[in-house]
Amino acid sequence: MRRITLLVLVMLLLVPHQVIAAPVSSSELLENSDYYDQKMVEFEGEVVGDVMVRGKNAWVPVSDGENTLSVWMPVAFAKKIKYIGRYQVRGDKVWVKGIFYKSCPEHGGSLDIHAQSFRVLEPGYEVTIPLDMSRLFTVVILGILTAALILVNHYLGRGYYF
Amino acid sequence: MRQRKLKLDILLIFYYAALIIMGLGATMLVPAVVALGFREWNTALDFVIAILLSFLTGNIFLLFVPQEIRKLKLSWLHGMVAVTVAWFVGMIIGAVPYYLSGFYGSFLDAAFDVMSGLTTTGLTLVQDLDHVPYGINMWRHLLTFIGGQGVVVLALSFLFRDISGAFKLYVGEAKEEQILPNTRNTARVIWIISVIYLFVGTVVFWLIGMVIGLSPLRAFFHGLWVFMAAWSTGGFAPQSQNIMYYHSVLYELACFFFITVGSFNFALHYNVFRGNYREVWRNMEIITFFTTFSLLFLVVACGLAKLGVYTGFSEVFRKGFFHVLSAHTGTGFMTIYSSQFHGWSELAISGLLVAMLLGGSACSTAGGFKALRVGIIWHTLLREVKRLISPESAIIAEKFHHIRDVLLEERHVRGAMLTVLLYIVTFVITAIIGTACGFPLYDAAFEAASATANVGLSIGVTTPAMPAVLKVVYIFVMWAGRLEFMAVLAGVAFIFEAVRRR
Amino acid sequence: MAENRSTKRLFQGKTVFLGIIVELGVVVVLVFSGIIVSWLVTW
Repeated sequence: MRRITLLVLVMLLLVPHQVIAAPVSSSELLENSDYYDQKMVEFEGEVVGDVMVRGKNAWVPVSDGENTLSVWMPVAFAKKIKYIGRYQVRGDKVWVKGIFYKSCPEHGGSLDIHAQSFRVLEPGYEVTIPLDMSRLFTVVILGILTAALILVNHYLGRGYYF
Repeated sequence: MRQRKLKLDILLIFYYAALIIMGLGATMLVPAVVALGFREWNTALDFVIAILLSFLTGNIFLLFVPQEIRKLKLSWLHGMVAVTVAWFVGMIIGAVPYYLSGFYGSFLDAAFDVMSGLTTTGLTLVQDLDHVPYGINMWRHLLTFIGGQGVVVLALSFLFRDISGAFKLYVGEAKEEQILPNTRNTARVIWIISVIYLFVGTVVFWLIGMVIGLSPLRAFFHGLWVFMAAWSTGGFAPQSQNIMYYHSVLYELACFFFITVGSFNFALHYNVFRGNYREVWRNMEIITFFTTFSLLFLVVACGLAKLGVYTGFSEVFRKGFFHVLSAHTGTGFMTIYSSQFHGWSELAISGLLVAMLLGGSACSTAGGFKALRVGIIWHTLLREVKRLISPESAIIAEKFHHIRDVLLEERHVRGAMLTVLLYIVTFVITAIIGTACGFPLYDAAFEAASATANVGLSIGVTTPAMPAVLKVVYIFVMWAGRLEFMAVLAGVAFIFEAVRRR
Repeated sequence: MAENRSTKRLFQGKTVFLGIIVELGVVVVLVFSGIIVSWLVTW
């Protein structure tokens, strides 16, 4: 069993990876993971969450709007990322080219992409969401109503105090 | 006269429900403060709206309940109906900030997520989770944490001055174990144990989070949230990739610890924390859990390794062991994508399905049949076998150890078998409804087990695009399973009682 | 069990600490058995 695994690994290293041109969507990768397994793929999406540096490499979650995939890349690539997508932040849109693993032997069987080339396509930006006046208005109205009712309950002797 | 009695009962139910609803509303202060801290103004306002709504609703209920009625004794039946009303109204109010945040497709989706959180299931319909504000994430995980300990337990320990009907409310949430003679103290013990673990767990996840490359602030909140979901065997996580997001063995090991102890009985925690360490190795629930878990993991591991899904040791351990433990404790943490379950062999999936249905310990945060009942049924089988091989006149006494030695009685057997039967029937019906909505039996059964036993693993059925009927069915099933069908039976009994009186 | 003490004095730091260690022990045994099974099936 061990020997076969080793043989397969050696073969994989010797045979050039089949290249699949043009970016594929995350759903396409997940649904046809057997087909894409250990092949070179291109993937585009927004960087979200956190860039987690582990030694010389880093985990970068990239979301194409359908799913988020983890990309394992050298720190040198990850350093180019300026904006990480969160609430009120649109992350950098990036392009990666690398080997797709359905169950990566290096990372405990997780589905991931090991990036070999990387590019920031569009820089991210901060999104400021202005204070919503209708919400504020609702709060005021509800506040008045609740306060009034608590007072009514108090005078009727039907209040409850914690 | 009868008509008047019914009216009194209903008023009393509304009185207790009002208190629980206001208690739940008050807890929204936590996410509101977090939202303010991160300058998420609109999110904070959403929570204020929901808090005000809860107090408004509560006070409308109170308006109709005169003081003299409040002193009346609550019956078992009405305690459970009060819990039911509180859960329903609580679900609606809890869904308000979700819906207003704009991250949910409809109000039904938001309500689904509240129910999933409160029942510690972990199935989710949130969209674009990776961009969700801190406040909303805080609320998702806080709901799970509160749900794990019990909404009633929370209200009991901090809010109620007069607790005449307390125990009945407490039992209404499927926590029949009275750890201390006084219900209020029992509720407090549950919270003290949870808060001790909250502290330990958050620190552990925080440290690991910083080691694996999160910033200290992010590591803290991720740690807090993941702990809340783990301890409550909930299964939510702050990012859409769930636990896979972290790509860390350390994080997974910490998850193993907290989801396992989270599925332990609170009476066991109490005894162990008081110095009765030997209880851990003697307790029937632990032994049952250990046995069923080992057998099911063997099944799943064979299903994964021998049929070529995962061939390496680390893959079988990190994917196989993780998901079996996640299923058996009723957590629902995942380190693979939902659709990847389709790549698992059917042997592995059937192992997971059984693990989900079996569930954790009684009087814990977990769902499913519960190890206590599985153990009791096992002892009943033993007793029957013994009866067959001994002379007819012999009296067979079967004992089991749970905190103390207990003689197996008919009432234990009846209770255990009835509840397990109800779980199985619910599971089957839910699976059939799933197939009626057009999903393959395989997927429908998996998701039905996950919803019925409050697990939260998903094979891909639970998406915002699924039929609304199925969402409603899952909401109902999660709720019924969490309250161990007692509330459903009580509701039916109450309606029956009301109709008969007319 | 039945003593009527306030919940504040229910737990002592030392027994709680040891209690958590004991519960950790259970999980360690569980994980260890998992490692053995994983190792056996992939061997």
